[in-house]
Amino acid sequence: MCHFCTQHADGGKWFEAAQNYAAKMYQFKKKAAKAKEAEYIEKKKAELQKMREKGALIEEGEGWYMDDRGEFYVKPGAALDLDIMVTDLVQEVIEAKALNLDELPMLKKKAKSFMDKYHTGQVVTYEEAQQMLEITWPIGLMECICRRERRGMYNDPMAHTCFSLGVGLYKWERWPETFRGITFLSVEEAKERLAYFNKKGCVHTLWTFYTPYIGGLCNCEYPTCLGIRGRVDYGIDGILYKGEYVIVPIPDRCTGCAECVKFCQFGAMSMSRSRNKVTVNMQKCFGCGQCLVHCPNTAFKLLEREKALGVRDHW
Amino acid sequence: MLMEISIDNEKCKVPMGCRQCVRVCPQCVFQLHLKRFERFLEMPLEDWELRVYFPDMCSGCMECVKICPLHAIKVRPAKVQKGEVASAT
Repeated sequence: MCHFCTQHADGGKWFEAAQNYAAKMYQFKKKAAKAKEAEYIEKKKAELQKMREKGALIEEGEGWYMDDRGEFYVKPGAALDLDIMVTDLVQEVIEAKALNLDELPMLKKKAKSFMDKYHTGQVVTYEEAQQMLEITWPIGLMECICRRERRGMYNDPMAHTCFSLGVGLYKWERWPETFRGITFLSVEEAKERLAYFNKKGCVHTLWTFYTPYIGGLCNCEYPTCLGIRGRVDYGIDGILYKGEYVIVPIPDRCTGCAECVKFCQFGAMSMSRSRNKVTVNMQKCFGCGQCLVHCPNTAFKLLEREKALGVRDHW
Repeated sequence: MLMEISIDNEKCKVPMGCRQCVRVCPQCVFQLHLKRFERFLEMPLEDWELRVYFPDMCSGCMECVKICPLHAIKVRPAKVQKGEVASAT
């Protein structure tokens, strides 16, 4: 149970609660923004002006601002492209890591705050991903933006790995760059594709568009995926959350074939050469279950993160 | 050591048409991004621009320099001033 589960679900996993896929969540945001446009924006602008005079605004950009607690907000009525905002914020962190270490914690907090509120991800297992596909409708398969930008897979059928879910999909015609090469799938077809990606070794991750509305189910890999890379290499916590499980090795069943090490995208697996068994760094494990899928002897078990007391706070 | 990668955008005009450096880089350092972005429009190939996104990840293996048909990429160690820390890694 992560903090999203306690905030956005009634007692279960938050991505298995149907309300987080509802059209209402999507429509509400738009309608609220439209109806309140004039007065709401005026009121907010006056508030912003007051904060500015007090010096409570740390930073301000086009369409966004950050207050003195390090919380990131999109300005009311502003149209912000989430993908571009993510790339810009992560780039700031990367530059600071090389050149300006003093500002690094602040920039990390800014990126985390933005991701938490608007565009966060979480690792899910294969079974959970299947359940997600059953809940939502419609389902489209489109080209992965990360693979396009960082691996040059443009108009490439191999890069069609991202499921777009829910009502946000109906505007696909208006956004040719975002929904590139989209094909609409039935639930069975989508599950077939999901099984294919699972066999290939991709990590299933869900993505929110204005949390908690869930609008994407991607099949990611290191180092192409910005989410995995930002979390693992640069330590931006909010960009991708760990899954609901951790993996536990069963040494008696392990034969030392090292198949799991090949498929771990997070660098958590290593072979203990003297014992010829696998060792898992459970602090690094994201609980995607890829090692379990590819192990010929089922030498792993998934343990709920709740029950692993040492890592239950690691999200 | 921090590497300094410079891309000559005058030579490399349409990176999306070639994409060799992006494919070959083992550390996934490069990024293709849209320098001009308009809503509701599909951008032509000329509007994609190559840039360095993860400069501190570069290992200096020179694969991109070798493969670039236009000789537009240069990689060299970054200049460090005395008493300055170049990289956190």
